[in-house]
Amino acid sequence: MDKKERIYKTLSQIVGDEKWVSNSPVDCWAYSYDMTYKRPQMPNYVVLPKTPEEIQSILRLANAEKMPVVPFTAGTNIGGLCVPEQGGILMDLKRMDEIIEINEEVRFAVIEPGVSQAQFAQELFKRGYRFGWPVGPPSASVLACAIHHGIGGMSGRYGLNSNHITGMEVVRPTGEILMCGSPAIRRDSWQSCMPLPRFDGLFTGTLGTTGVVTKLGVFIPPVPDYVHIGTFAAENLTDMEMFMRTFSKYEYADDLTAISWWLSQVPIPYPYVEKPKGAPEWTGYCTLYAFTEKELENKVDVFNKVIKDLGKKGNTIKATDVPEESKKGRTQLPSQIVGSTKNYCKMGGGGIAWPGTFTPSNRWVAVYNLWKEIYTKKAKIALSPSTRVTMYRGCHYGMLRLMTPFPRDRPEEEANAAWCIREAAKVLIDAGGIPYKPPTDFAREINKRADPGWIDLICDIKDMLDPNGIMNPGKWGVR
Amino acid sequence: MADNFKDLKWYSQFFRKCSKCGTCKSAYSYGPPPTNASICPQGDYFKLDSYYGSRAKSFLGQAILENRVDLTDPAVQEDMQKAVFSCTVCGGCQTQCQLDYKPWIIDYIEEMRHNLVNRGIGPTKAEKIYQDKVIKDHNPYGETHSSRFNWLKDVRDLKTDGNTVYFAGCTASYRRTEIAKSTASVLTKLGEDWGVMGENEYCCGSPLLRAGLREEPQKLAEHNVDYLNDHGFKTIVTACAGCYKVLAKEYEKWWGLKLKAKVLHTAEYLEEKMKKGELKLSNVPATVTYHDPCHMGRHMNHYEVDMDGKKQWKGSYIQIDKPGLYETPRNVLKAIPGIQFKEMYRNRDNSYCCGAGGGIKASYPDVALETAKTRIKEAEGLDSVQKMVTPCPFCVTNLGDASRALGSKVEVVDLIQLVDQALKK
Repeated sequence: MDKKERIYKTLSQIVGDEKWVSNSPVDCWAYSYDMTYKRPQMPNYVVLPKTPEEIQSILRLANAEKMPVVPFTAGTNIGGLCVPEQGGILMDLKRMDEIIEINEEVRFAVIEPGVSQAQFAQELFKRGYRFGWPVGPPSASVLACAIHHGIGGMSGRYGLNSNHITGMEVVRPTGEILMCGSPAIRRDSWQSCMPLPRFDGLFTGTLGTTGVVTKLGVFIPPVPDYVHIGTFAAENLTDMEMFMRTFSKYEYADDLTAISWWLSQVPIPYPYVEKPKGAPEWTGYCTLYAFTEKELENKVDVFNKVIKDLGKKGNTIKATDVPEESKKGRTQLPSQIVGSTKNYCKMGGGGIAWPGTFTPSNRWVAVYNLWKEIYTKKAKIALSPSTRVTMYRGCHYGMLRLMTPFPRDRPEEEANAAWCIREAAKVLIDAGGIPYKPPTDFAREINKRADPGWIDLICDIKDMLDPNGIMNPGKWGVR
Repeated sequence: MADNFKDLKWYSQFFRKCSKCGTCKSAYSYGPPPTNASICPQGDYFKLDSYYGSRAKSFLGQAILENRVDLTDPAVQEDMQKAVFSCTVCGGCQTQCQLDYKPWIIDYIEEMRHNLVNRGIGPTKAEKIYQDKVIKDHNPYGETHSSRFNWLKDVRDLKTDGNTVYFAGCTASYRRTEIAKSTASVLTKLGEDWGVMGENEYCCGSPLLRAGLREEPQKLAEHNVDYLNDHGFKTIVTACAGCYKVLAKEYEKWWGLKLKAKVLHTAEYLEEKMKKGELKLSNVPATVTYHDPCHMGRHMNHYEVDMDGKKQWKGSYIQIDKPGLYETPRNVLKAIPGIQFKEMYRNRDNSYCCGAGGGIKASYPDVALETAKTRIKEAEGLDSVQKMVTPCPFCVTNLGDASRALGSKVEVVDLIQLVDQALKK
């Protein structure tokens, strides 16, 4: 029996049925690329485990064979995260789709990797709870989003989705199972990662290179009774940022976001078009939730006061009135329309990628101006500078991202978009921003600029956890 | 005769617009409350992403068109055939898709099959067998053509003229004769001047079209259309969702074969009678639910597309400007006194396929049966439902098989059978 056949047979034995394993090029092709411009790269095998024990066995096999393993949930990442750099075994976790517990007393839930945003939203809503739904597809994995510092509709109030993590079960690259956070001490107690050392950090933001998270505890806040969606506009990002920084100090908004004119178009104009004269370059919204009418009134009053006070100082920020229908898109998440990237890539033609970053708000303007230069002046085909900024909890920094659609079937135009995105990432990193869920080309740029001690530590940790370098190799660009 | 089929290269302008977002994998709506349910029978069964929704089909189309996999390798051929031909082509994914790919998904999947047929990678063995049977005997069941209207003998003498012609279709003629008999009974009770095509009724061509074949169904279409147009019928009635889609939509769409007579599914025919006050129904005490056949619902949606870019941009999907038959059969069903109607969780555009479509009842019977079991279990989840009603002999067959396999108390019946029961003589 040759190696290919032997591994196939062993994988089949591990998961109990050949149905859950494939080494067919037809099946492997479907795991070779995603929404982005990343070139297709196929795994050698796809396997669909159902239990952590099966994952243990797969990882032990991979170590014995020195074969890469790529964890995969829904394949909706915007950075080629699950596209295998070096082939190997693609571990599709969609069969692990159980919501294990929703604890309404202590307000946490425990989920498996295959639980989708849609599935989780349905179950939480029944019980009056919610989560930080991203503007991703309803099919996307809640767990994968959270462990990769995903952003949701509550990031202004509760922080990133990774800030919701209360505990995790992980299968280490060498096959051992461990618990992080409170369940490490008592298996059914998922209230918090603290006060223990934050070992969950070893598996958070690490792009599937340090282990396979098989259970995740997350905090679930209740759905408030009252909501107001405030909308506003400014002539430039300088004024918009000043408003957002000022208003965010109150920590009243669950979501405080502004978008450039090009992103406010549905879909993003492709290629670039001039903004009509007189149209504000930036529009924004904030979602103000409250448990009492009085609380909501206070929040709305403060929102209006901040706008008024800044206006007196010459800031162009103004409250705006937008149709109720368009407001729904701000709170009605997960959304098929937003999540399908319809609003973003429909005109461009199916492809989308972006430099999505965490950047201090006082550098947004400088970076945005550089991005506009790249996209509208330096690009071979001018592209829309469709930019989004969102404040995170703590309010001193936030998301700055440049959503870039492109046609999948026109290689020159795809290459043009890819060049723009890479150049935008470089100027962003130089300005102090950090791309999240970075594609490999971004990771290389990050590493070029990184503190050597930080790189050494990553290498040491990686070597300790994954001595054979099997976990999603190449993604961090250091091993 | 020239046809209007487009090749895979042409469809690539749309399937390459699939963003790979995976929205097609489940039926989700924000609500509130948010609702979520599985929608892709093929993906639910196989789980691999190469089988899930229209996203998978976009991957596969690119692989075929750009030679991303070696389709000269027999093992790859086998895998590709399985991935492409084990889809029920139910259109559940199409309903979810929000991109310009959406309007084309069903036709594109069938073109992908046609492409593989031309390469000798399709149809499946089972489809090849029934293809030969259709060519020989004009039905996919291997029954003699001369016995097509044997069922009618129990009802009345063969009559081949009248204002209305009942196009019985193969499944009702040979396998679900109770549906054919009920249809005949209803037409008679309503005083319709109706006939049948007799030996001139050939298979509508649906089973072959679904398998990616082109020339053979065209011959069937030309035969049926010629006969129907030559005999002065005013109305063509069929109780089969599959035949309905082909007669009402595809003959003209693919081959420009226009039927002079109005084509009605029995549900439409009955609703027309109902609106005229001509449908006098008596009590049928039963708690029922309704299953939407894909060929009558989603597949009959009409999509507005801005092909020349005058409204939005070239090729952009604008809206569904004419929905499929969702309310019509429900209206008829609810009009029967004594009927307690309960809607299944997945309904209308988000209905879950019965599992028999796209040729998989013959080619992948396990997938078909498991899918149907899922649907029966969904009905069982409704309190005290006794019957699952659907206006499609093929759905009745597969769902009935599943009900029996499960030992379920849910009885699967055709809408026309209930109406027949309720119609006063």
